[in-house]
Amino acid sequence: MLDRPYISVIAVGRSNAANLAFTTHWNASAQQYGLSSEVLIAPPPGRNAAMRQARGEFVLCTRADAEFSSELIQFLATRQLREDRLYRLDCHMQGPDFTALRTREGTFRLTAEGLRENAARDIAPGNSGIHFGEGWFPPEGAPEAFRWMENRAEILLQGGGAVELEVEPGPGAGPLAQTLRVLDRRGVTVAEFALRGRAVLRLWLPADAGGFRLETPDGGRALAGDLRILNLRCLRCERVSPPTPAVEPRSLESMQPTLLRLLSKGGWLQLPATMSLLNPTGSGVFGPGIEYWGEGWHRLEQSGSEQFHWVDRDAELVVRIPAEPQDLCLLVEPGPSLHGQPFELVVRLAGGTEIARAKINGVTPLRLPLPFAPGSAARLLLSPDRVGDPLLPGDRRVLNFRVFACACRTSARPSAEIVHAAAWPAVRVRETPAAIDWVERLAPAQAQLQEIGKPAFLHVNGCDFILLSRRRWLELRGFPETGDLPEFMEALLCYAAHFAGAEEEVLRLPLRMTRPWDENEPTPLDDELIWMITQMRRLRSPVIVNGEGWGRE
Amino acid sequence: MSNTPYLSLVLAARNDDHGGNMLGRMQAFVDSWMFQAARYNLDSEIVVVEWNPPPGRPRLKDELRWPAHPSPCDVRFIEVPREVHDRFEHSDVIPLHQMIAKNVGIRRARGEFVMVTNLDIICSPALMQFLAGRKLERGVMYRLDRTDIANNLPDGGKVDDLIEFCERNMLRVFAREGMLDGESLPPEIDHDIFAKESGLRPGAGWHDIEHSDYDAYRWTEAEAEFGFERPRGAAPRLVMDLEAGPSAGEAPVTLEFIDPSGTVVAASPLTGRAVMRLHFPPELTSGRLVLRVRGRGLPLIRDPRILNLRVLGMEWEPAPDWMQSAAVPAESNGPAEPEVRVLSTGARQIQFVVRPAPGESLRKIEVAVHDAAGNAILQAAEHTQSGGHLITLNLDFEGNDGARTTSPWLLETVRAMPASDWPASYHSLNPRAQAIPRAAYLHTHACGDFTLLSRDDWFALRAYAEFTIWPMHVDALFCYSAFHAGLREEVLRDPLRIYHIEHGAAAGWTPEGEHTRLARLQSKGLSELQFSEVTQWINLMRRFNAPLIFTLEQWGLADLDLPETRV
Repeated sequence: MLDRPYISVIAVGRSNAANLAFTTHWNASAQQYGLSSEVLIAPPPGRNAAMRQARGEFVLCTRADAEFSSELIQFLATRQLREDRLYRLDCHMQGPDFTALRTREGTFRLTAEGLRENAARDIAPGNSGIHFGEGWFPPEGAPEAFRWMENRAEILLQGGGAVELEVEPGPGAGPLAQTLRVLDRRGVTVAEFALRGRAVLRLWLPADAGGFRLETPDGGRALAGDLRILNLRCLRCERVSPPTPAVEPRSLESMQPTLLRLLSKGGWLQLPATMSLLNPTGSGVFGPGIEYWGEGWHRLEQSGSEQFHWVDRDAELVVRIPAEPQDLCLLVEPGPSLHGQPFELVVRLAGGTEIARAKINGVTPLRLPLPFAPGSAARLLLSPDRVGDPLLPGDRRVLNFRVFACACRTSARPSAEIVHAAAWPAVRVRETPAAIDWVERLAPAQAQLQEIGKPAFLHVNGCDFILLSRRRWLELRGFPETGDLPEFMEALLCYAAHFAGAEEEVLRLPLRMTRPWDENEPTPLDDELIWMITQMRRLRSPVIVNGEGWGRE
Repeated sequence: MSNTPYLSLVLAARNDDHGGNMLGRMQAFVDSWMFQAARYNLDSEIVVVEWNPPPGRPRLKDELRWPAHPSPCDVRFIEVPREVHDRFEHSDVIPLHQMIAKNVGIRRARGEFVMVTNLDIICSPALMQFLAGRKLERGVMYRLDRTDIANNLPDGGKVDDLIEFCERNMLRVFAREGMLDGESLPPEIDHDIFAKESGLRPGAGWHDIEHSDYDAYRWTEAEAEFGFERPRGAAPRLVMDLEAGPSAGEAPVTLEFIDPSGTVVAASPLTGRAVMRLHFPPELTSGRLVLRVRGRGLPLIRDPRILNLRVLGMEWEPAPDWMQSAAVPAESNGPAEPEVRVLSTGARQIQFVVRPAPGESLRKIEVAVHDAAGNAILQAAEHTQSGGHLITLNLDFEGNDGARTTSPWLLETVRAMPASDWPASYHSLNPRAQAIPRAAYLHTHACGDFTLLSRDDWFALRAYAEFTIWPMHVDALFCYSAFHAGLREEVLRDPLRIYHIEHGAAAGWTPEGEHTRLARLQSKGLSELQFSEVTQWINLMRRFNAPLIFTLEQWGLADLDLPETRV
């Protein structure tokens, strides 16, 4: 061994057998991977005394009943540790027939696949196949359960389809409107919303998405009585099945007014197509393949036996392409705002790309090939090429055109060009005012919160792995030596290290630590300690609790 | 002067005329210190940290006059250039980060002891002699009241004249318990617990007057001194409305009255609130007493003070008019005028006067004495036809050893009153009070003007917090850190004084300038530690029984090689 090891490991242990096993196992692994290290076993109150004896360039404080993955030992052996870092690690806890994971956000039992299990009362049912990964706090609230998310939070699920989220900006988000960004697992932005209150959002995931990540780019603001960053709370996250329109064959008599107007314009040749479109629309105008229709559509109206939606512009549709290419089939008629005159209907993607254009002259059936790959979904906007004014007495709406039927059908002449939209279809189903006006609620503390800015919420949920340079440990005078609970003092140490300039880095799998399951969760920090850390954030200063004689008693 | 002087003085400044006539005040500081250091042979150095010197203005060293005669005091100017200043947050609105600047000086001080002060402080000769006596100890934090003086300093530059001016022009004193007047006494105010004409005057140990919805009161320190001069017509009995404070917990406090010789002349326990009466020797008409309170000293949650006792009223018991004739001893017990008055309840004698009402006469006096079991042990009856009578019962007590002494002093409870619901009040106990091993209310008023520790102690505590907000209360925070690191606070007493030369409003803290100061901070978007926040930090130190240190190893810009000039 070199005179001065690279790393000193201070392991807190109570049992001689465990201490010996730890030392033996660590030394064997260290030797195997060429890690220069020393092990110091200490009783719980003796960590600081051991710290003063440690000779390593870096010092890891951990437990004698912990086991480390070989990847972790190999990583340490590469000597990549940095002086300006506070290294932390999630802790795997092995129970009799389960594994739990202690993370920054909370402690979660893991599925056999290593995903965080949903709680009994959660925002997604346990059997939904939806799992909440990094960035989500455990569910809370009653009677309405919700989860808070930090600056970014991961949702994992298999397969594609529509997922609906009910969300509301939290105190970390700041003044509304706030941006909520959706990123795919590669980190590409696939959707974005401006949130002004509680909103129901729907996303259509590609079949191979595997999940997505939410981000609140302008979030991260502090709270006064809670160290967490609470940008957004999610009250519901669930898969949404495509609508199954009632298919009721319509009588010729009920289609008669529409057909007569078609024929009056000489549309004999379009009669079969029109009847084919009208026939299965049943109680509405939307048929198979239309997964969603939202903004831009006026309410469903009935005039005699006819049913239709008036449209001003940007009528929103989400279509899904199954295995075969699809055509978008529409039955459209110019409205009074365009004086019933012909116009061109433009079909665009939500991002603005035009994918089809067709002339509408009187009642007009359309069949527009959708240039999307099988298995994908797209959000489309239907607009006229020009916009009229409200013209009906007593009706302020702009009624540019109306749609009698809208559905997808298998394409006979598929589009040769496939449009690859980076964005996922995403819609705001509805939005209501937020239940809590956080700006108003936090107004008394606003000046101080503004001083704090956007702080870090550190991983202090069970500090069984704290790795700092020896110089930093000495500068911080080790763990605070008080009569308080060890977990309190470990949390203070971590925040002091952070404000002393050691940026937290949580090492990720396969760097792994495992210890036996402990059903006793770390006691949450009390109000005084939360205040203390809040002041560290405000003053951007560490707080060291020990005098010069630390580690000597 | 030596390479390792006994004492370093550290102060921070820049030539920006802060507070008005800054150079004049600093000259007075320099003159008085260097002259007296020479007079008393005090081996010292002055370390001036010249922070962010204003461009285009001379350095302070060149603006000040320096004595021609040799001095045992070295003077060092350490400059913190603007480029360094600009690294700090709020450098655009705080031209001098005072506590960081002081840390720069402490870090570079060479003295065995380091006194942190300001540029407008003059030490009394007694203080200089004390310092020169080299009796300072490690492990002690020395503090001092600050005495403010007028700023129309005498011309001529003679230090003795300056000292005399200080002694004659005292405006106010910042003591531990609050602000005192120029005579180091609590200022006379209306509606005080001591009526203006009462002949009672509080001395040291009384906190400022406070008011609740119903009462005015003063909290006392562990000892509260008062002077008395019994007016003619007052009985030699002091009636006091007293209440055990929240720091007493559920336990009674013990009250002791101590005469100038240090003798406890009367004592009694007090639970809750009560009207108590202190009997004086009839012949004692003036003097001073100390009220000492012994309580549990439990700390509170919103107030760093230890509040064992409050006094809601203190007055002499009046004697009725008819008793003020030469024929009757000028004494009385009761505030109203009953027909029978008890004059004395001394240990060996009970006297009372009987006076018939106008138009009536006393025909007979009967005396009956019963023992505790109700048996008549003495009966006497006498007919009389005259007016008022003084009836004296002489009692002869005997202790078991026959050596019991008697005292004319007596402290008795006259009436118990409902106690305050402290847990429900602003003055509620710290919920952890019972587990807090060590709590003290330190003298932090104006501590930026005088805090003296050994250099080793300053280093162990890493000096002041280096916050970049407005530095209010940061010095007080340090004092509590020192105390909770195990240092003992010692408040040096008169005639050991520091005089502080009054300056313009909004420069430092003065009661008159507070409004302007706050307005200035607000306009600059600056924050400072609020008193309530300091209290919370103190609560944490009490909880941990440990200091809180806010700086790292490089405190005081230790990693920088700063330019230094010597005079």
